[in-house]
Amino acid sequence: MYKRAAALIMSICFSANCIWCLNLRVEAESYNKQFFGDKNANAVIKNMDFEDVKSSNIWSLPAIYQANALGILKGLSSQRFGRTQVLTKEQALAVAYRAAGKEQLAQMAANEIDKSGNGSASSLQSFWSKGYLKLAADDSIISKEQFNATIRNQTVNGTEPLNLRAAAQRQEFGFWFAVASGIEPIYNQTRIYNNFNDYNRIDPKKVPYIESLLQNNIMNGDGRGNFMPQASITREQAAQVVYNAVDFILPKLQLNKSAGTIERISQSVDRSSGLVLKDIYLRNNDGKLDRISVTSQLSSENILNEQTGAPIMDKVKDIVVFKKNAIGKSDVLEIGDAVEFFYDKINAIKYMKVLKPSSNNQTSTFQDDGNVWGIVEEINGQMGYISVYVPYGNTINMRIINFYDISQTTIFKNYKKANINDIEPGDTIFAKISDEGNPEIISTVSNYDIIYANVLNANNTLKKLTIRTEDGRLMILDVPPAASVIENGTISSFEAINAGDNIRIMANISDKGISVKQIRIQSDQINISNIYKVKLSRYDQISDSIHCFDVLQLVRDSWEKTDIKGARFIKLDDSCKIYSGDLEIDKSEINESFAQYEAYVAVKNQYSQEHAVMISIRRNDGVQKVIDDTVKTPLTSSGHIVLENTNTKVLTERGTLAVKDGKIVLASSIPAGERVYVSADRDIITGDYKAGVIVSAARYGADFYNIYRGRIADIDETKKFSLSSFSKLESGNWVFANTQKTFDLTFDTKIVDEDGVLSQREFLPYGDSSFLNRVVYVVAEGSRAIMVSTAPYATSMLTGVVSKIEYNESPSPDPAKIEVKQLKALNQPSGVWTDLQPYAFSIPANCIILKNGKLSDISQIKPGDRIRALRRDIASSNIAIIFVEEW
Amino acid sequence: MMYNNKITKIVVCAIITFAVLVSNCFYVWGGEYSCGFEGGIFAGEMPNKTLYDYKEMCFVSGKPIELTGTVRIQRTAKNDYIDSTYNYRLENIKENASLTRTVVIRTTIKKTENGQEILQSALFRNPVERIKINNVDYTLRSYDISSTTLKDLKPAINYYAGNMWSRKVYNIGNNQGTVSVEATGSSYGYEQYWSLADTQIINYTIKADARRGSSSDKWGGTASVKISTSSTRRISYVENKPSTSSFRGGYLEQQFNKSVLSYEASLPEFDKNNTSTDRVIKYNNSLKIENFPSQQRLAIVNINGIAGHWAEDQIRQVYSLGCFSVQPNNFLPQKLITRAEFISSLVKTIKEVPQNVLVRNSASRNTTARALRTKAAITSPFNDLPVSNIYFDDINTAFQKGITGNLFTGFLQPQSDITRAQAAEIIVNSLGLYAIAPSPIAKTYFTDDASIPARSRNAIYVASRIGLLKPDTSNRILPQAKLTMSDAAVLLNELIKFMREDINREYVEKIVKYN
Repeated sequence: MYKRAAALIMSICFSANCIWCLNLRVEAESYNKQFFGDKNANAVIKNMDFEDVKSSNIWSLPAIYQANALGILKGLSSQRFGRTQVLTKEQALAVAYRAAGKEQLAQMAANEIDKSGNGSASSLQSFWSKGYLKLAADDSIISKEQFNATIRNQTVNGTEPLNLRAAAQRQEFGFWFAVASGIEPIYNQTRIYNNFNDYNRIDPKKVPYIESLLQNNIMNGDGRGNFMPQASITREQAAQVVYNAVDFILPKLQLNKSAGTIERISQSVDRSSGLVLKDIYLRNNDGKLDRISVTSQLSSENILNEQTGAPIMDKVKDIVVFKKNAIGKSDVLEIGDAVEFFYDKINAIKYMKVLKPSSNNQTSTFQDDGNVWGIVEEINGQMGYISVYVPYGNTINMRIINFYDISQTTIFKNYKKANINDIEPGDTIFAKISDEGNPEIISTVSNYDIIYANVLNANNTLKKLTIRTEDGRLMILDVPPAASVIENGTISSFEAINAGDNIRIMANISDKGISVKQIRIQSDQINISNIYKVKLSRYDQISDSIHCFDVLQLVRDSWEKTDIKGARFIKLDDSCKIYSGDLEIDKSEINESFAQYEAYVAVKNQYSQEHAVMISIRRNDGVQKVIDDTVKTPLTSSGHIVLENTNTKVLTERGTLAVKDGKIVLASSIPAGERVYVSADRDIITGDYKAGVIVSAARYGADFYNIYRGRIADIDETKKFSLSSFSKLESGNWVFANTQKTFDLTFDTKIVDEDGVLSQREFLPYGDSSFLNRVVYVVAEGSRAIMVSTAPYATSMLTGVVSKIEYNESPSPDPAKIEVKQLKALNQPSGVWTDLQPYAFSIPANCIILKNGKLSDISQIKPGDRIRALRRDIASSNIAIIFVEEW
Repeated sequence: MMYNNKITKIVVCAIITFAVLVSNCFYVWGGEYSCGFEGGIFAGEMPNKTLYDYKEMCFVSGKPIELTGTVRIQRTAKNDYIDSTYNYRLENIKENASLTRTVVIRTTIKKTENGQEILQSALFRNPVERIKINNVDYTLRSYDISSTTLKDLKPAINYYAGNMWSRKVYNIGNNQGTVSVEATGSSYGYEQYWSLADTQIINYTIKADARRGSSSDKWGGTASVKISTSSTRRISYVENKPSTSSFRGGYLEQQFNKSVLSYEASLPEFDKNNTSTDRVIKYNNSLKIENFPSQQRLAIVNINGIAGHWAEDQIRQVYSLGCFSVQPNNFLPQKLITRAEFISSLVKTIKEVPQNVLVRNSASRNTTARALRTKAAITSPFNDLPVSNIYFDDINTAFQKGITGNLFTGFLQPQSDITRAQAAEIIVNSLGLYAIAPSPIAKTYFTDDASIPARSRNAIYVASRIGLLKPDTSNRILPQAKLTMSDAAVLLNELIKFMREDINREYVEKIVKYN
């Protein structure tokens, strides 16, 4: 017990002694060098309040602030640096000469020009850089003729003036910068020729200077073997070049560099002057103690100008400090901060950066174990780095991964081998950095966003999509060639996307915009099956359907009654939109305001039921007519469409129900030359037309199909067959050709006889049921046989509307029947159509049925369909060929 | 004053109790393979009901045939498995087809250490199936099935994904060959209070070796069937027609249950002798079954001082739904909501994830007993939250379920305000949707991105991506802005909309339409 007490006393004494000794030592150590704050610090800070730079964590932040603090590359205004803007030629010259410490000389030169009257009065204001231009001429960076032409803004002795506001090329900026700063050219150009494919695009005069910049790591390639000499350079990239060249620049600016770690800060307040006097002691890299004295303003006790009320800043001498990616004054400095600073010949500090803050839990950005995990912010091949956001504590920091030799880095993208070009902003990145600082492995994974949208317009020429997203935003997107378009599970092209399509877009969204990667077209888009004109009764919320009466169906160029009498109940699709004129309205408003109104309803068939996709409430009582015409002028800015044949000008509204290729589209998506049916109201007083419905659809007339009839001359089993001579159906008549015609048999060729379908393997030139010498119909696409039928020769044309269909789902010996009304028969050879009473025709198993340009069958014929058909003669009740005409 | 407060508490409790009691009226069997394993549809199970309308597609004859009828489902549960018996009676008169089938499936449920569930289903007892098409019998000769599903349980939503494989072989007629139907499928779904969804994508391969006298007719075909079953609740405002009434209008909640099926099939064409040909026909169609929607009127809570407010509708809705914990007489739209009030409101908004009634009953027996035993030992998860706090139960629930995560540790400061960033974090905790944010940390493109705290970045990214948090007109997300009571009502409404509609569309429509 005693021993422990004694030990404790000894320990206290020893500790106290040590503290005393320590204090004594610090007090006793005199400082080595005295530095001061700078009286311009506050003004410099005030002029660097760049909204486009601060708080942005951008990679170029240190370079931008440093170039500004040193007065080399100033902001476009005190609030805007303009970091992504290109550096103009005059800005490039200014940067080069300011970095060379020749700003004063430039001002003097400018004054000389003004005195000599060379600068015209009118161009003085916009020609702030004439002093720099004069220095450039003196250094032979530009020719005397070019200088004279430029300051006069006219051609002099055939020399054009320099376009000072044009973008400076990388090679120009590099050359001017190197010459002005006195960076020695290197004539042994190993770096350029060995590392860059585009060395021969560099102006030979500039090559030695570019080589020097490359060898000193002041400028770099793009990481893909290019220097890009003729490319422009952004202002932030220029700032980075200045930053990289700091060791060359400082002597020119008559500045020196020092560094150290802050050990102590003492502070006192002079209330008489309202100033805070601060001494910052730092241990420099030579182990000696330096002192920095700054004088800042006590905010609560400002001495003010009695006339303006502004603080008097004369005695304030502070420091521009860059710490934790932000600019501040000396008050942000803390004990333990490791700093580097530039000072002038009177030891005033012009700029200080905190290399490693004392509170290392916040921004030890560059302290990691060689593994970087974050989100890619930018890939800059030219400057040779990737900037990455990395989480750190409660902040995110920027980590720069420099690559000196990208060929030594293994790169993966989405777990596959890739190259640097595949990395994109927004990717998740894992990088393993070697001890030398070069990344050994970079693995990135895409973080694409998904956008669901409806296509309003697809511009095939410009490859641009106008879309409405599912949350109602309108966007115009560029679709790059590299973006894949997928339709029905297979790779397709941009041309496969049509107005009205629903699409799923996979895109990389960054601050640079939306980069489309993949577009998937909805696979089971169901076409509009009917358009009705109805009288609305009410909307039923429970069943989510409209109840309506007086239903008419648009059949080509007329509104026809349907097969359901009385009330009709149409369920609304989830995506159904309802319009009244230009206004989109809610379905609940139907009961409140629009009961008994007429409306156009577009429906699609889904789940064996009609679903309304769009309802447009008709607001006009004018005379209505359906016009069958061709679009002459597509939608104009006044909202009109002009029709070709009738020369009708039709006004459209947002609520105009426009259908193209079975999909609801904007009226603007119907191009010139398109055949349309337009149901329009004509204003009795003005005579103007307003479109309620516009339907544009491919029309398949009888001549669309190639139908031949002839005797089979030979059959090459399952491969091909020939007709000895043939007749071809053209405009309802059979045109004979006395030549042999051969057709290919494919997997899709259908063979039918009187009893039904036959296997192609039974289509043989021999045996009891040989097809040789039989007369058949052949429906063909080019030389490909689609169907071979034994139906009888038919020459008599009829038209009508199907009113009833009877057929068996399962195989049956009974032929199908269709009842046709509005029946007309063509009398040959007079060519006169005769009206007939409705009649029920037999449809034999070998009847050819064609619909929408394709082979069809009896199950696809619906009541209300308008048909054209051929039968043997005017007395025959059997039909051989049916064309179903939709729309 | 005390008296008034007490009354208010009772009123609020009564409203909430009413809402919870009524809400239990809505129930369907959700979850994996809610339509069974046969690729058909019905509109969801209901309590005290075993017989349902049912449809499925049959491909055995080489032509898609829509079979319609009923399925009777009976389930029995033991500790770690459920036996489900399905009895099908289906027909298609037009096609002269019928089907009878009895299948018993045993589903075992295994809990993983991290709280996820792995469900495995297989045949239990010999199945029986007989199909008759155009007087040809197809009798089940062998049937194998296996299915496995991983269910990830999050506070507000259970998400699951599974895979299924099955193989059936039928004898055709009397020794006239065989036809086999092999199915591989994947399923995706979720369960939560506001909606349920289960989507299956099944690919079939059909192989037949039919005898035609001395020769055989061999053919093959494929089919793809996509099935979505969903149950959603919708809220709509109904205005009172009479102008003389104690209330101007109220809310109607409706529940819609529907199942849709779409298929594509490529099968050979058959000739007049019913022998396959080389020509392949592509078929596609879609079927649907939906229940008549059930509905209920919601209670009306009287809140003064919000008439004409831009968020009046949202405020009234969250109160009517029993989702808002701020006492009505304490409500002022512009007043800041406290952490306690917001957390409690969130718990009331997400409610309990509905469970299979059998599992729920069996589990609740155990948990009730356990709860009785441990009630005395309840301690507050936060030093400054006494168990007597009126929001204690909800906040404790939020803590136990991980909704508060590590946002508040030790001290909650229940009376403090809550920022948008904090609100986003606890909402995304409850939804468990961090997987959609980029790793390790999201970068947003809001103009005030720099002011988003690192810990809330992914939550804000997720909340904005799913439409809960929206930027202002200057594209600022305002992470540090404090949530007012009206802000909270709007935010919780958006959450309900997401849980009711947006996530449902993702599972029901988008998977099917873009795959």
